[in-house]
Amino acid sequence: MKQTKRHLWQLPQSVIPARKVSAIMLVSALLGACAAGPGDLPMVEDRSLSKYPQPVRSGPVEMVVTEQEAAVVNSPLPVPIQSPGKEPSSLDQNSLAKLSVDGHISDDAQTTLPMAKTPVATPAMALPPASQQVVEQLLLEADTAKAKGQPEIAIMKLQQAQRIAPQEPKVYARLAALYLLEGQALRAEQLARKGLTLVAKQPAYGDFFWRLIAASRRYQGDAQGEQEALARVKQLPR
Amino acid sequence: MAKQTRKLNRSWRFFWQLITVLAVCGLVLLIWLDAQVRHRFEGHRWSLPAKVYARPLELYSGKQLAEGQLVFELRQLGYRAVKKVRRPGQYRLQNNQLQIYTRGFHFADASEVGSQLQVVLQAGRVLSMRGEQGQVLHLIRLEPQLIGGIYPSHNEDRELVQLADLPSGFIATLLAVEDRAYYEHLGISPTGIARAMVANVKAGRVVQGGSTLTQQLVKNFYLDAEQTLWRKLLEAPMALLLNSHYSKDEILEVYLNEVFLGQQGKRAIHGFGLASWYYFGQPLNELALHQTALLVGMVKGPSYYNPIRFPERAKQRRNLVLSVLADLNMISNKQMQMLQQQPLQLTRVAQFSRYPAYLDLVRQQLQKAYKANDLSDQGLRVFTTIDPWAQHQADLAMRDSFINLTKRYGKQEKLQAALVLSQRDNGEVLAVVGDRDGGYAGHNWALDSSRQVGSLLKPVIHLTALASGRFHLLSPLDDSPLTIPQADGSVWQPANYDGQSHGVVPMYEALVKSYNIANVRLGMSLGVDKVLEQLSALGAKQDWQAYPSRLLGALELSPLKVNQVYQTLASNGFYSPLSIVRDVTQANGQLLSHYPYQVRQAADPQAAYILQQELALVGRQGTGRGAYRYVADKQLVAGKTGTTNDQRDSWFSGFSGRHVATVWMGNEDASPTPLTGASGALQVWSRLMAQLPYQEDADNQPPGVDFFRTNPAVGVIIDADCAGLVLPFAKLRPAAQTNCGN
Repeated sequence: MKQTKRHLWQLPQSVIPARKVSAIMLVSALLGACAAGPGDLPMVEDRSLSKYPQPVRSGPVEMVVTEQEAAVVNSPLPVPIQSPGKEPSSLDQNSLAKLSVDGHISDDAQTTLPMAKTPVATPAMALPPASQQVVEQLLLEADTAKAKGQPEIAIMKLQQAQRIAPQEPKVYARLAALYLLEGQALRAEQLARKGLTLVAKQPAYGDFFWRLIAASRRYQGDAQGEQEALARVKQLPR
Repeated sequence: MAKQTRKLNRSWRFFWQLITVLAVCGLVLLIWLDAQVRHRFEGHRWSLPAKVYARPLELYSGKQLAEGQLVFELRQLGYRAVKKVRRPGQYRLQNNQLQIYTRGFHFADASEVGSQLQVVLQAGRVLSMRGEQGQVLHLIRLEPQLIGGIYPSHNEDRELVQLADLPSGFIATLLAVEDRAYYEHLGISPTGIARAMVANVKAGRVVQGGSTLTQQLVKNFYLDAEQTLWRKLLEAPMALLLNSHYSKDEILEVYLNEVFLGQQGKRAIHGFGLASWYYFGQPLNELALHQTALLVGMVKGPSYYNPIRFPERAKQRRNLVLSVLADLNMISNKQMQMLQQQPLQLTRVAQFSRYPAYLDLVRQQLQKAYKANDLSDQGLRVFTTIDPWAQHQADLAMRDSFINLTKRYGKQEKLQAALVLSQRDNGEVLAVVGDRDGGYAGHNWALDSSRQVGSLLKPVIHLTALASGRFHLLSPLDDSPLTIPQADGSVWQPANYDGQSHGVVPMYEALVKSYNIANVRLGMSLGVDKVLEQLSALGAKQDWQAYPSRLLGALELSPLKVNQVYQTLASNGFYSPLSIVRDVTQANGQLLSHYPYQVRQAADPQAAYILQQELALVGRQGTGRGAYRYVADKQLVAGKTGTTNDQRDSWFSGFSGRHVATVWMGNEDASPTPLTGASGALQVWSRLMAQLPYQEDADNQPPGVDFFRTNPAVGVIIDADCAGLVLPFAKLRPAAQTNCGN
């Protein structure tokens, strides 16, 4: 899969007349990766009382720290104070293999997707696994609509998902990819840029978004911009 | 004699000629009438005003609901609380368990089928949802509330119904009261006319109409409302013609939709379908018999029997209708007595036009894409972003704040106010209050009025500074007195609100305490034009002339525009135009336009994020800290107060959780008020935010921004186990120092 991706990236500029085709294939591959997500599936906002220590950043930065407050911010704090969160592993080849090229999750893959990551809630905070399931469902519905040739419905579903999980990079990834498939490269790039600000806890999406930005720029005929975006992919921490 | 005969013959001839002419005229008239009748009836398309809907309430596991929100929204939708849920439009809420029978709705993207659902709530959230067969549901969309319409110039409104939509007994009741021989007569009822004539002759004027339903329809449909003889003469033949061309059911269906049933301001309520919504807040097919009886009773005189203005009179009329039904053995006497004891059950809230300021915005957006006629005639369905709960809370916050202000400062006759609330992540406008009274459709201070923004501009200076890569939150700024020579040779000496200067202060403190001099100095070092460029990019695009006083907000913006700017600040520097409409569909549900989520990077995301944290300090320590009188302590309040010269304008704009809001207060004539940003606008803002579901940030800290513990007095980063202020920094950071900076 990764090879296919590289091959597509390295398409010479002479193929540009067919650049929509290549962009579509490429986005499809990326979308597939995105749909599966990193092996460790990105969480949609987990609202169950966090099992992680409360990050400093989640609160207002006021805290002129007294000793009592220091406990709240989980001292001793590392420098810099890091945001907690699971680091997803990089893109998992096996989960990618379960995806069809155009980004649809096969039934097989789907069953392993959302459920596995449902956090175990303790009785004291028996809150639902937040909005994760509904977001997954909306993404699937968007895929279905896209497959039926109804991109507008797909976009509506994705926007619905965005309203529910506005800081979930996965949603922006799907939206951006869909717009690129629709030939709206500028819009796709801007969505990817927004997505890039949300990847602190899910760095695997950093890779995705920069590649999508590169693809959008290629679609717009901006070869230099494309190379710059690809250079950013290489700079990402692995 | 012969002369006489000739004269007689001439008279006869004249008579016959007259008869012939009259007959020809009559025939022509009849043909003309026939054409009229057929043309109007067949070619008639009611002008159907566009229907404007609120956002639908979406329920899913994990969904946060404010206290009281669910019941509020269900009531707005005309749902009835019952002990046992049996029919669409009913619900039962007990011990965190909601049983609801939804009505179903045709949305732009899909149809929701009405069904019985179980929703379990816990601690202000939806815990789980199940369908009729006990299956787990992930998402329920209730039908959206109809918030208004876009009416044509004649202000007619209706909600089309078909015979099949009617509740059982409806037609029987209508015919029993208005026209018992409807299915037998030929369009007119000679006995009815005779009875009416006797009554009219006795009274010496027209007091009674012997009209059949067909005649009533003709009257409404083809003729003007004046009771003239000429109209009366035309009515009968037209009714006969109508009857001869169309089936009784066809005529009846048109009648049901045409009949006039009330007036709300300029808006005329036509047809039983709309009347049902207007008076009861429910669809017609959900009405009980006593409600149906009221509507039918009102046909005789919609104004005279108006149940809102004359409830007793309307009740008497309703009870008369019910007794007619009992006389005809359609209901038993016992049923009649039971029904007669029912209250009128009018909807507690007027269903329409409660959101005039918001509807202004809807019209404004739609007019860009649609012709006025299409909006008022085609029955388009407009799906907006308004959140009825948030709008209700906004109205309450405004009302309560005014009560409070009046207590404190006395009556402020000229004081006006406006509020805009939007969704932080996508720019959807959730609520607009256009003036101090909320419901009054007058001047819209949120949209149509631009006022000086004062200190609201300071965050833009800070954003520009942070994005330049030359400043961080502890960069020292000089707040000592400043003199700036002007182009005209004069000098400008900005002063602080407290009249003091504060020496050298860390950058964040200059914002938190809103020091004018330090901020002007900062802005001058960046370039006024650069700051204004940033302002334009954030969403207040204008050809701003760059002069120094701009830095203290000597520029005018509407509350809507200010909210746009803060919206961009609150979403990591990504501009999304404030949006009001999600979708527009045709009357049959077919999608016409979808307004997609738009986003454009307008500022450096790291700088914008750091600025957000700085604005949160304004809430915790600075001029915005009064918000915590209303807002829970755990809630983040990030925003900025603004007070213009002589306290002419009082502003607060900022965000909390997933909401961005802007409040402005000021006198209509821009004269001084007793209010600062904190004592005026902030009060409204925080009352509102306290009532909205709060959801904190999860993942919006851009890579490359890190938090450090600092000693602001020394301006250094210190060890994490020291006591100090935690601040975010991007690439540019202050130096680190051991010993907690001491």
